[in-house]
Amino acid sequence: MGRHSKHATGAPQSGIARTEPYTLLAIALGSAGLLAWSAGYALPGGFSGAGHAANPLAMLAYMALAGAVIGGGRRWTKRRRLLFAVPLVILTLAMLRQALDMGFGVQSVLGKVWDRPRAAALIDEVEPVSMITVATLAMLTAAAAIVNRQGRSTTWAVIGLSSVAMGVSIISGIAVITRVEAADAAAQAMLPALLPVAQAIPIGIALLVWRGRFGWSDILALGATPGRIFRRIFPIVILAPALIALFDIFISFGEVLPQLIADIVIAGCNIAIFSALMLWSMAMVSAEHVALAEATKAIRSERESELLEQHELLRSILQTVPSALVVFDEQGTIKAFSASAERIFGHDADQVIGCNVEILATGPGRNSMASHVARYLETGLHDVSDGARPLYARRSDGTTIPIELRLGDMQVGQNRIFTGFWKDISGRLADAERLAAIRGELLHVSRLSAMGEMAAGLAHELNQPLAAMVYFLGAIEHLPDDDTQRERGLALIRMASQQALRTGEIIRRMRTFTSNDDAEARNEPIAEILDDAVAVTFLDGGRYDIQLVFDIDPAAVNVLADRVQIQQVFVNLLRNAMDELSKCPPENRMITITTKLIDSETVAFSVADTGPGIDATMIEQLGMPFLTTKHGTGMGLGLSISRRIIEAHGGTLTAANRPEGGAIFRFTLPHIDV
Amino acid sequence: MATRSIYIVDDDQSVRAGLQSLLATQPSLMVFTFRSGEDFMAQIDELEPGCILLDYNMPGMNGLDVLEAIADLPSRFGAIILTGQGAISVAVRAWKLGALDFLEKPCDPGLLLQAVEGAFKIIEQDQQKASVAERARKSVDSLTQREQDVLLGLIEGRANKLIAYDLDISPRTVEIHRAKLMTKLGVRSLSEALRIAFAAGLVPIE
Repeated sequence: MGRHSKHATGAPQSGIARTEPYTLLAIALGSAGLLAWSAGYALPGGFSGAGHAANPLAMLAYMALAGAVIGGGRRWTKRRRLLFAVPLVILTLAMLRQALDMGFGVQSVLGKVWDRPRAAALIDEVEPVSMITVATLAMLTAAAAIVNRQGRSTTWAVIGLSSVAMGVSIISGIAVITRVEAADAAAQAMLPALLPVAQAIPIGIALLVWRGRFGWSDILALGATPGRIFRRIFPIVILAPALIALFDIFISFGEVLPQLIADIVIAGCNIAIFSALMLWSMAMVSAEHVALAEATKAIRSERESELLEQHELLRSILQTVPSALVVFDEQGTIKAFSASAERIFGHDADQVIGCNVEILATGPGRNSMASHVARYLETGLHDVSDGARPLYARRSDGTTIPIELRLGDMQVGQNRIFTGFWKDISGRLADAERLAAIRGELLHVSRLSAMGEMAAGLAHELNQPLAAMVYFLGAIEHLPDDDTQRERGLALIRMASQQALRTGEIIRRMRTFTSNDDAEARNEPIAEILDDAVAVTFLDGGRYDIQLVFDIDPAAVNVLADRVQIQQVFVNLLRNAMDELSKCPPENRMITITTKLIDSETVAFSVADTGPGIDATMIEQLGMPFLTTKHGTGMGLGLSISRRIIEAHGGTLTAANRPEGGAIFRFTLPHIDV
Repeated sequence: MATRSIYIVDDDQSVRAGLQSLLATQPSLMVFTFRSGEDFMAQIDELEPGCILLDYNMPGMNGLDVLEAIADLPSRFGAIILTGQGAISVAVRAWKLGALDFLEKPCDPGLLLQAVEGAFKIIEQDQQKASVAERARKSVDSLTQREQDVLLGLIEGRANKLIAYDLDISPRTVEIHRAKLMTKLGVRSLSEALRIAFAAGLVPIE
């Protein structure tokens, strides 16, 4: 219906534009003939009397028909019916006259009505409308009547009727022009006059063009082989019968050959021409078909080889990809199981295909494949992981391996197919573990190294309480041996034991600092960390030179941190500050340690000194391993390690120069509210 | 026995306390403590001669710095260096700067007391020597110029006549000067007069 309505609005418009020149030509020819006739001129017949004058009624009928065709295009209704009535009436009259061989005195009536005896006489002279004209007119009228009804089914009738009418007109026109003489007068009378023939042909063309969309006029314009065949065949199909007919007429007219021989020759020619046409067109079509078939085959084989190549490529990729590939459907049924999947899971592809994909999962609930798929569908994230812990998969022997799972899906017809890539990450986890162990070792070694750097001072610092202790004990020994000195002796013993405790405390701090316990973030009081760190830093003395200022935020009590590692950071920073301060005069040596609660989750620390500050280029590269300002003495690892430690605690370590002079190191640690 | 002064210079309060306790057990010792070399140097002019127990490893002036600063007053103070670092280089420098002893911390309290005792002996000997020389110098200073000239002539072993000739005086006058100087120096023989002249440093000893 859609197509029809489209044609109903679009096609007639273009049809009109294309038909009107032809219909107007027919009307012009007719009116010229009628004018000439009413002016008393003899209408042109054949060239040597073979034809005869045109019947004005025939011309009028054609003019009306042409008008009706125009009206059909312009969607007239009443006028069109009126115009159709004219050829129908004239046709009826002509057929009745032909059948009954009588006139109805139309001419006389006209003569009386118009009071034009001359014209009436002319009408009386007029030959009756010829049979061929009647037939042509009837066919064209029928075609014009049909053409006004929309619909494709009637198109062939229009095309057929118009084509036959045109063919008859052309051939009879040629016969008239070539002065063919009929065998008898009756046959001669059947030949049409020239003017009606000249009118019939453009009307036929107009009708053909109008419905050209479905007729041969547009087929001729087609591209490719059909168009080519049609274009070549068309003139032959049109011309061959005409030529044969003319040949027949010529033979019978000129009595060149006996009639029988002539008929045989003509029949032979007909058969030869049409079979040649058929053969030729068949050959054309089959050649086309063969070419098409070959082209199709070539394309298909190319496609097939491409597909095969892609398939092979995919297969080789899947075989080499280290991840296991498993394809399963919405029910979890395994559809494909790659070679790497066999290797990783230990299942045999043949046995596992058709099983449920849950055999690869470690358990029900959060660890099931169903939950992974659900999460994937919900979030659209290919990487199936809740971020917090590694996923595990179950192997055929029941053991589990840490994996990374990526999911994808595709819609195949009604079904959704899932593709899963399992990647065995046990090696990576082991690497990470080893790396962490090495890192811990490095931290330990760096602490030991810091201790080593302090060793000389440390010995002094240990010697002090030991010396004091020895002196106290010596004093007891040298006390005069009498009871009056008893109190004094006890006081000395107390002082000596205090020194022993002091020695023990120094050793405890040293041991804690150089211990190699596993790093573990605990809830640690900031004050204790600071106390110990400062104590360890100044183990080797030097504190009296340096003014140590604390600016502690009472709101920040605890941090979540590894105590020893944070001490290490402080020791590194404080020792750096001490080294820097040794370059400036003793009265201006100050280290300021501040803590500040930034928000409920972060504590900011800073260690500032009044030293010469950090070189600008050093600030940029700060924390790079082996970068040192202590030429020849330091390893340059202190800041690098400190930065790693702080970053491992989720904080940042930055360095800057203070506007009032000296360097300031800032870092953050997670705060814990208790 | 006279009262002896001992000065402890150490930055560590407990070490100072320990040393003080130990030394306080000794009779007739006055113990003074200083928390830094600077403190000690600030008060040095008011201090009696005595022994210094000097810690080497101190912030600010270290033990050797203090030694260096008091090097031109050797007769007043005798220093014992106490150190946790028994480095040879430190010990050598300490000796060169006139340290009387060098002890590693911690050391046997008995040894320390012995060292202190030894140091005081040396100091007292020095002081004795110093007092003899002082007396001789005073006696020599009491002689007139002429009497000193005559004494120098006698030291060189010249006869009275030659001395008279050199000084362009009569041999009799030389006799009188000689008698006077013997009286002033309180000696009866020439050899005794010569000893005083040497002790007073009148003639450099080669």
